[in-house]
Amino acid sequence: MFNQILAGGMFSYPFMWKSLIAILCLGAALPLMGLNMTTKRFSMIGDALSHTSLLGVAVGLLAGVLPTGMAILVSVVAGLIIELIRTKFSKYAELALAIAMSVSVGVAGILTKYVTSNQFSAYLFGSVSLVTLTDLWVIIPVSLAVIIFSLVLYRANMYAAFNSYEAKIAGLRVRLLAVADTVFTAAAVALASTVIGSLVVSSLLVIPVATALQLTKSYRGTTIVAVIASLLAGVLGLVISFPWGTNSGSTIIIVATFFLLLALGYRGGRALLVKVRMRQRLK
Amino acid sequence: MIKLENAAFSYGDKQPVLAGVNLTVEDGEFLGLIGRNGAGKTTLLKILMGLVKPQVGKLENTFRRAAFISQVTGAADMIFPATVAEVVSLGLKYKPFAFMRRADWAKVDQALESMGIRDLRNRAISELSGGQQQRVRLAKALISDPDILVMDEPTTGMDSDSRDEFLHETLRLNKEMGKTIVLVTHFLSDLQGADRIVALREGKIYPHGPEHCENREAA
Ligand SMILES: Nc1ncnc2c1ncn2[C@@H]1O[C@H](COP(=O)(O)OP(=O)(O)O)[C@@H](O)[C@H]1O
Ligand SMILES: [Mg+2]
Repeated sequence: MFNQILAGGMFSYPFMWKSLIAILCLGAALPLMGLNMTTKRFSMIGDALSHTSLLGVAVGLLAGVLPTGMAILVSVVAGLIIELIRTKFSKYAELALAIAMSVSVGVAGILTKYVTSNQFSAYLFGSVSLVTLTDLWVIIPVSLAVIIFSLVLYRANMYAAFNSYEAKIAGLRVRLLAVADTVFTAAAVALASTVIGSLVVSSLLVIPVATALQLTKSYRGTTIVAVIASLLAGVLGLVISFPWGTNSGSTIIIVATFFLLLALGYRGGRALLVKVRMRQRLK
Repeated sequence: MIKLENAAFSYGDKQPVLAGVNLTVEDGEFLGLIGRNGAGKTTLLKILMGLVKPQVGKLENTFRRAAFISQVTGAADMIFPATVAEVVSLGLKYKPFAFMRRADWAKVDQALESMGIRDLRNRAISELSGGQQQRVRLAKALISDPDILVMDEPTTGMDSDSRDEFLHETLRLNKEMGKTIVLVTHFLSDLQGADRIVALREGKIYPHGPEHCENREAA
């Protein structure tokens, strides 16, 4: 079936190419930021940011400016405020996330009264097939910026995750790095939220990372496997969703979760094998 | 030399942790710092390292390069996927854009060798015992070629053999390689090779000479 689709069918449509490019860009960018947030034990920020991006979309639709741009703007500002609270009043970090989420959903919901409702709901689950050339002009540079940032500051991020005090003594600008991390995460999440849907974006931030954590123990390996898992899930989800007519964002996240289950199964299987071998040896 | 003069510090509106601390760390000395839980030892180290600014007081630091082995706290809930080699490589001089080259990995291997933990190279840092982790962190600290090494309760949770080896290594660094050492510990026996021991009590520093030792008082 897939041969057919790949050979003749789906990619003869130009919109599929646009979707594919968008998925490849975001699929690489999201897990890179997800790893940073996971090692900081702050991956919940993805949920908050996906909600604030909805608020941005609502404001954008209402004001008649590009919803994607507005989503990025609102999420980056919210991300910076959350980051400030996380460092200055760490006790209230989770509370800040909860407040950001509820205020965003509340206000966005109220604002939708004034926009066409199906226009807005497209952003809940996303619409990969509706990615326009204009969207790509935002998606490609932002994703590239995230990827380059992750590569350039690969060791810095690893060091800050290991121990921020020791990183600081080594001359690293840890605070600045945390702010940059947040800005890039917010931009990537907001952007992805308008493409694959705000309800599923935070999963794509963490699930590939969780998958990688099952399969490898090095930082490098985790980075690489997470990106590969995310890209595979993205492309596979897109390809499957086309003939099935399912929502792409949701399909992608199902595939990503399936990979995670496979990885967990693989790990469990290996543990079982060790157990069996030990039993045999003791006999 | 690090010179801290008349430092006072409190976390927000809490009781002051330090209340007029005067402390000098001389070049090449091995200084031991003791004090009860919550006395403010970690806070004092952070101030000495310039990580935290005291509300009052003056800090002067003439050391070229410091390495800090921070206190291990609640590492259980940490998600940090990395191999031993990767952790040690963090100690190498940091340059943005720079990826590890073969020569860098050779340095890492050398550091692992000198700590006698070459065989742990590709193990995950999170699956090591406390003593093994501390040796990894010592290797990471040393690879940065520091002239002062500040360690916050590094021997806590080590078995006695690991502790002996760790302290032996520390003494060698101090006496043979001339590195300045500041060691925080709860065990006076860790400080047998120390040049000087000070105690932090009620926000102030007191010398802990032989005349303060418990066995001396008992005699
Ligand atoms: N980040 C912090 N915020 C508020 N209080 C703190 C913080 N860190 C430490 N303290 C308090 O300051 C005091 C000194 O702590 P610390 O320097 O860690 O002591 P020690 O290392 O000697 O056990 C303790 O009472 C501790 O509860
Ligand atoms: Mg302490």
